[in-house]
Amino acid sequence: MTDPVVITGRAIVTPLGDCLESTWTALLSGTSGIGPITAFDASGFPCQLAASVSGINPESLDLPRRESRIMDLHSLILMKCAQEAMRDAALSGEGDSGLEIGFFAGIGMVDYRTDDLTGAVSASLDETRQIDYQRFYERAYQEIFPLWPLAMLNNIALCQVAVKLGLRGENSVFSPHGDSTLQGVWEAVDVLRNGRNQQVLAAGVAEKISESSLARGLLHGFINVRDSTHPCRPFIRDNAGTVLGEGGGIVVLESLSSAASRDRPAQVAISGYGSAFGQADERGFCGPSEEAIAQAMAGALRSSGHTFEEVDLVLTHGEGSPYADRNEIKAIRGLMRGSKSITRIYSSKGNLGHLLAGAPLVDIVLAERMISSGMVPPVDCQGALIEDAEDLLVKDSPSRLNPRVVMVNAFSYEGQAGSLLLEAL
Amino acid sequence: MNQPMGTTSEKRRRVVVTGLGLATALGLEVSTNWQKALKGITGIRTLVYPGAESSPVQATGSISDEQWRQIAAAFPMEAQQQGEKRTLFALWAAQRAMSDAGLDPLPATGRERYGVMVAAGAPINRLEDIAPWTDTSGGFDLVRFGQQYQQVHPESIMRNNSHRPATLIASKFGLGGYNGTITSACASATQALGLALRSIQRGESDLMLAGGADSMINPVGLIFFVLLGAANTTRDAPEKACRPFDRRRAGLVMGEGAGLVVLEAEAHARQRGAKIYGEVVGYGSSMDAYQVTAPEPKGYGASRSMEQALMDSGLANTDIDYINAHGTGTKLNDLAETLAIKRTFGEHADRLLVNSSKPLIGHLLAASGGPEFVFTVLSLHEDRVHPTLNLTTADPKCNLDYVVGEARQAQIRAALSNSFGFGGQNASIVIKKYRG
Repeated sequence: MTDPVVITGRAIVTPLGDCLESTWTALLSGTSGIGPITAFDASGFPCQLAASVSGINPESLDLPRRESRIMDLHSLILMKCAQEAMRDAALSGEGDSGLEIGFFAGIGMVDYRTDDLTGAVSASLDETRQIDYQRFYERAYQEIFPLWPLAMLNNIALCQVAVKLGLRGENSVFSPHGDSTLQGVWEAVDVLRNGRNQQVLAAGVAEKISESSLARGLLHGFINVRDSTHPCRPFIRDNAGTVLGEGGGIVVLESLSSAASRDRPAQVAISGYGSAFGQADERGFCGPSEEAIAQAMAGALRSSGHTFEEVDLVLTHGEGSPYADRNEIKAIRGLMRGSKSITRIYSSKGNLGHLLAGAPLVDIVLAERMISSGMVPPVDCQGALIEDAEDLLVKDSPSRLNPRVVMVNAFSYEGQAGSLLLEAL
Repeated sequence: MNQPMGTTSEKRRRVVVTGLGLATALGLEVSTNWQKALKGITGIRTLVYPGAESSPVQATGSISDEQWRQIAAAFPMEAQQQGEKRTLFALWAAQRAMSDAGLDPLPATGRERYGVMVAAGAPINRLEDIAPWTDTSGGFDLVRFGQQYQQVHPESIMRNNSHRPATLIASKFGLGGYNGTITSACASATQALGLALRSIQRGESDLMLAGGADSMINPVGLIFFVLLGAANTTRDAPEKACRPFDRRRAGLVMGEGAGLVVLEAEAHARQRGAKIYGEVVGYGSSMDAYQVTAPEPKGYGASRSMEQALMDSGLANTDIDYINAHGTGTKLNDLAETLAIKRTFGEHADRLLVNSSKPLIGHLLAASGGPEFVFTVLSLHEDRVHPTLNLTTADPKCNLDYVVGEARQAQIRAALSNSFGFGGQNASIVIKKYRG
């Protein structure tokens, strides 16, 4: 790498805290952020657990009231992380400097708030309580807040941050799952490697847990409805699905020479990426196949110039679902074949829940901390492990592994797989 | 063998367009679309929908029932299983583009280097997914919904992830490489094309199906831009409702459909003897950072996107002969875009041919950059530019050479297509004539 792309700012919000320090401390002590859903009455659903974020409010982010009205939790998390990551990187978008700052984000599905539409629905109902579209078009639609449509656009959270912070560089919004966030990170790396912007924010954020997102997860069949005592147990033999989580994060990326010229410290570079598509089964919602996962990981190795033997740690997708976990372990074992050493693996989802598009970004920030501190927190995985995972998983207590080269995996439920390689400078 | 990502533009691979596919209100074949576009025939008609006579929106560029039956007959299983019609539009356009590129069937080898990058629009919000659980006091019965969520409709947001079109295209055609979905509002499809270009330039993919599919022609979708004050709600004749750059322009007119193209590494295309429409040479994007409700009025953001694309292409601004404008027919966009073109091209702006495809097919929103790129490619390939319909009384502030009346024959060495998204995301892409 002639001029590596490095991380110079970071911020995360997770169910374990509204910053990296609180999340990291909680992970090291094995704390779980999963608990009963309190944001709405989930008692009718077959799953009432989630890993929720609390305490993020618009007032603390200095936002105009009219705009904050269309900001759901994911937008607030993105805004908070952007403000903090910019501060952490000692960056400002003021004046012309914002022209040189890009922004790529992976953003989850954006759901309507039922309350935003119930007024229009009620006013549209006929005597038999069916929707009468004549009534809707004539006047009932005016019950909807005029800026509500903006809240339904997947890109508005990114644009609100851009407006607030003056970011005017290259950009894109990818969606809806973790693989999309890694795509955004890699496109950010491309922008920097080719000198098109000076710095780029790369983000990932999950949708809010609501009746819609919970219904979607249940309809797609990836939520654990069998075991409420252990709602998310990555790599356990009889695991039964995952649990939704809220949160996300942002990293500020720039070239090492740019960081040096600004006197900003950097310890970790992003050096490789691979992706693939292949469905694990015909139903289509069981994640990528073993072959697709292996292809994505091999692509990340190839583009970084590393062998798998040189990878010290994989922050797995490891979501606690039968297909995804087994296929990921098989892919890792396949890459490890012939290797003299074993590559250890970690999953944050047992503690944080599945943050979907937010998950890999949080994992990138955690990976950076693992590289800089040498420590790896234990995976929350009570029960008998999948056989092939036995000697790989970091469990029971934090381990000092001193990882130097770390891979982050992220998948979608529909067959997309992505892998990103980070390494110590 | 994979090549490492280039660090300079000199190391990038060349990328060409080898296949085109469309599904629009003008037709389901590229040739039909193009012939109608050149003749100035619009696909925008009076909306046919339950209760539509009361709708504040009366004109749309809708896929007709007959067209829909043709699409559904081509993909019967998917038509039965998939909730959103835009997924089927995407499949149709993908199949057409693959066939046009001579890739139907796809070769058995190399599929892990063939990918998909597709734009997706706002989800479908159905009042019927709320009404059954609304109690008489207007509240939503969450407990009962939690017991009955399986009853939501197949096209509900709860059953359709935004990457459904990209997933289904890859699964149907066996494309095992890079697979992404862009949700940058109306800039999405041009960003999808640009990011597909990057993936091939870097050597990570040999071939990408790229573009977009969208439809918001559904009850809540129809009032989306009415609430935002951007839709044409006049009672103009439908075929006259979309009037980009005209003094009487009164807002956007929605369309639906898909536009996908095959982008391919030049060496890969030549090796298999593919027909080449043109070479994609530059891409740029920018953010206005102005307001999420309106474009930056002087067009600074839009001009940065064009400048970035030009710089990326290595072309001089005088090398561009034609711009397919975003040209929505809204007061704000058309003026800002005109100013942006003038700022970017200086004196050369007066020599550019400019048009908008939206009076022909409507505003395909997230997908708009897809069909508009197809029209741009065809203009470059055939040296002909379709007219901008309904531009009869020019806005004095919009004073570029917008092609009006009849199609224009002119040498097109290179062309640029613009897409700008609600919220302030801008994207521009540059193609030039292919020289082997």
